[in-house]
Amino acid sequence: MDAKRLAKLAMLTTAALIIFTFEAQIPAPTPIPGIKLGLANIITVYAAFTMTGYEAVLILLCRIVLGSLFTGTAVSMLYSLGGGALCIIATIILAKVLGPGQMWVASVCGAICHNLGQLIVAALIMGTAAVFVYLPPLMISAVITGAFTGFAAQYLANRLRRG
Amino acid sequence: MKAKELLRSHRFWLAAFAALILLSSLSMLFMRRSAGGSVAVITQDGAEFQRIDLSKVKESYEIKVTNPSGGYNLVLVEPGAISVIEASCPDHVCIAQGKIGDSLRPIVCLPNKLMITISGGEAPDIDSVSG
Repeated sequence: MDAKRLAKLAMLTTAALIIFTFEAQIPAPTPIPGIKLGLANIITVYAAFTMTGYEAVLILLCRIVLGSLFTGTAVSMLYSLGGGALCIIATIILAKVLGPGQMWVASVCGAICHNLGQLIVAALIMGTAAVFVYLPPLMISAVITGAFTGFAAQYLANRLRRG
Repeated sequence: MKAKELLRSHRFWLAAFAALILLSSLSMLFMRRSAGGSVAVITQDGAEFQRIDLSKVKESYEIKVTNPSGGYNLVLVEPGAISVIEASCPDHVCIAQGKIGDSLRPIVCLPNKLMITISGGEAPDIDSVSG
């Protein structure tokens, strides 16, 4: 990997980390566990569409590990890894299949898979499927926040392309 | 109209996501019904910690549930209701979830791996603790 590529990866990872850490300071808006804006995924979606899948995974992995070290616990890293794994798979697949004008779709599907992944991890840790009672509100939240971050990533890509 | 073109080209995904939202909203409405039962089950890290029949509770009392990584949740047990009133987790989502008495929704504290559910299980050993 050449220096320029590495520098770009580092910059994107830093941006994602900053967004993630900032967002972690905002208190949870609802009593439903797992509902959040997920703004750091703007970088994830952007990377999935403009870089190779391998690089997008690297950025996400670094962000999750370092982000959990900065703001969370070992358990929260597990939830993030579980959600992130499903999310990045879906996002990269859709990035290959969809055109660059449909980033928001990949972002929504990524958000849906992320919340699904977190529910699965929670069910495994708690040892019961009772947590899936939160599936409906998490799906609604995923569509809304996924669309928002997807459009933001789209806007970012458009601006960077012009520059 | 650029906006109209955009809506048209995305119509499959728009329909799919709209259907998902609709389906989720409908299931949330249907979940209002409770399955009855009054036995609160507190699980810590997947293992059952304690079972309390809320209908047999006469006086309110508190239980402190700790976990191996040093966190804790303070559970308030009242006649017919149970809730988390204090917790070491950063977000306090478990506290915001309030009291549950007979609904199907559990109280969940993900960081502390705590879950409180209500079922119609068999009679427990403990129904009150004094002192």
